[in-house]
Amino acid sequence: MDNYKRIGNRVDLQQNLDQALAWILASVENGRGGSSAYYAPIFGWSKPYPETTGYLISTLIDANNHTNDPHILKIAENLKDWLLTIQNKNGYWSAGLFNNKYDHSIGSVFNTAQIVSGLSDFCLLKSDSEALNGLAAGADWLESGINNQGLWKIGNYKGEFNPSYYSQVAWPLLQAYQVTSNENYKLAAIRCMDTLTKRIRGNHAINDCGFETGAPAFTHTIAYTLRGFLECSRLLGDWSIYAEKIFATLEIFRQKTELSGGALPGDYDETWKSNKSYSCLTGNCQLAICFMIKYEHDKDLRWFNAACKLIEFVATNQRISSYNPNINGAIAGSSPVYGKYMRFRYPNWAVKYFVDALIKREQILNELKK
Amino acid sequence: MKLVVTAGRLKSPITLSLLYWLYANGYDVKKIVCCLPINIKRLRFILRNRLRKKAFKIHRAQEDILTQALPIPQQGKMKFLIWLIARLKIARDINSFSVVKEIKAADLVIYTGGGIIKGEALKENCTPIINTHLGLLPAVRGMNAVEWSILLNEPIASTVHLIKAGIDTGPVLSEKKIQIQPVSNLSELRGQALISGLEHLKHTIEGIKSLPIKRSLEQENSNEKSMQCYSLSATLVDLIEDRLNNDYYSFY
Repeated sequence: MDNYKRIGNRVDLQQNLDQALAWILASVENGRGGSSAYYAPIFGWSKPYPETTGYLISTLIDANNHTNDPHILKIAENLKDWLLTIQNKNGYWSAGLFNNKYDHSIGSVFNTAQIVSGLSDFCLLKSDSEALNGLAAGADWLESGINNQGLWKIGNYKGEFNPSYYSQVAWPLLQAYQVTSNENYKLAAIRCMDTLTKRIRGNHAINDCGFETGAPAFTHTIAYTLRGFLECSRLLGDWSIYAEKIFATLEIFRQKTELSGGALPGDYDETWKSNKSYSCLTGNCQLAICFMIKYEHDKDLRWFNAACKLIEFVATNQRISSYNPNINGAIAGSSPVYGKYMRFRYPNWAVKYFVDALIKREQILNELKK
Repeated sequence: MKLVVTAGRLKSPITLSLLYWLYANGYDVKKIVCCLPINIKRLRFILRNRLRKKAFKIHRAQEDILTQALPIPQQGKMKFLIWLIARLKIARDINSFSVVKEIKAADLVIYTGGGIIKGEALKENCTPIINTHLGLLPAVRGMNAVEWSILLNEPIASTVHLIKAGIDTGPVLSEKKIQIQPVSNLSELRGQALISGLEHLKHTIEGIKSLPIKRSLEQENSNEKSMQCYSLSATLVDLIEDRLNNDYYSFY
């Protein structure tokens, strides 16, 4: 059965977008201040997740622009307020879900960066001194932690391991620079990116994209890495420094997307060996966004075609008419739902990236139809 | 000139029409190799794409258009079918030993489908295999070339070329611009392009006098400006139908 609606035999993903947005709002209603990290059919709604709540602000701002619904912006504002209330006085946010075990004593580099990203987007939209101070404190903490080698010694997911998806830490630092004009953030971002650029292999795979060194990486974290490279270049106004270095990697993913009909394998190792038993739906949406950024750069429609295939595949996996209303509009971590990534769970970041991808797709389509 | 024709489905109106033309014009067709590759990988791909019903709908409509446009005359149809069955060879794999043997024994192979040819059949000095590609080569390679030509603002054309190891990278024998009459949907567009491509192929076969056709590596078409294209997403199928219905003919 088609999971996306056809009007007069045409693909219409508006219903998918509406339901996804409604699910995000439900995750906030059940998020005790933030956005619930995921819904699991057996265990119900999880505790809120500061990291993804942070970057959901950016999605809600885009959704507000797309739908002109002021209610959505109000929710983004509430999420911003909640994040500021749980910010450590040293500027950072801690890792993990916000629950009784939430350890305020240790900051998380990646999670802090994602919240800085959401706050930066909020500050670009609205003049808000509290949000500005919060993001500056977060960015200050990030900037103070990076060493001369472009690495963070503390605040990592595992020991001193700095994964390559820290390109998505450099990007929020540049966003913070864009808002505050603090040159130190820009220099820290460049130091980080210069280190990560050296990890691109001869076969165009990137080392250490996963949670552990040398281990296969979910397309989710690979796409984080690639997006960071693209966005850093975009914000610095120079495609040659970072983005062009990963164009060959993107091209490999584009071909794999086309050949798999949008159902990309869920993880890859550094020799491009993949696990075809499942598809990581979050990663598919994130890669679709990367492809659309590439399309916007060189206007080659083949990139947009590959992005649409990824999005259409995810749309066919979105639950639209489930007997369980908490699943309607949700995107599972994996397809099939028992796949390795977020097994049997519906994470809020999968829906976030699905909404981001749908909005971008719509914008490009409107341009093409002109 | 001993010919071998490869086909994916004998029911294909294009294949049937080509075979009838070869029969009616007295060409020495030694074998008609029909290969419909079915394997787990392909079945999985079909199942995964089962939701893209529109692609199948377009394909069915296109077959109807072609069947009407390329009828096999009733008079002598039985003789033709006997001629066809006498030469028919069903195979599971176009690269199997028995098919490659037939290819090697021929002077010219006309490819109309049956899967991707690789390995032994493409070795240097092997029998030339010709194919019609519905796009200008080397610019638009791969699948859905007519649609991609529109999307990438390239001329709609057919190219008859020799098959080499890469997808649509073999030396070009001839190319012809296709004059598309106004159409209202993708099936009609594809139908027109396929009919024009078939005429182009017949014309090229008529023109092949001296064999073997030179197929050195130097002749391989340049990849400088080439674009490898894949099947269209449902979204781009909609977009192209919009263009066909709106302003396509005003700028093309």
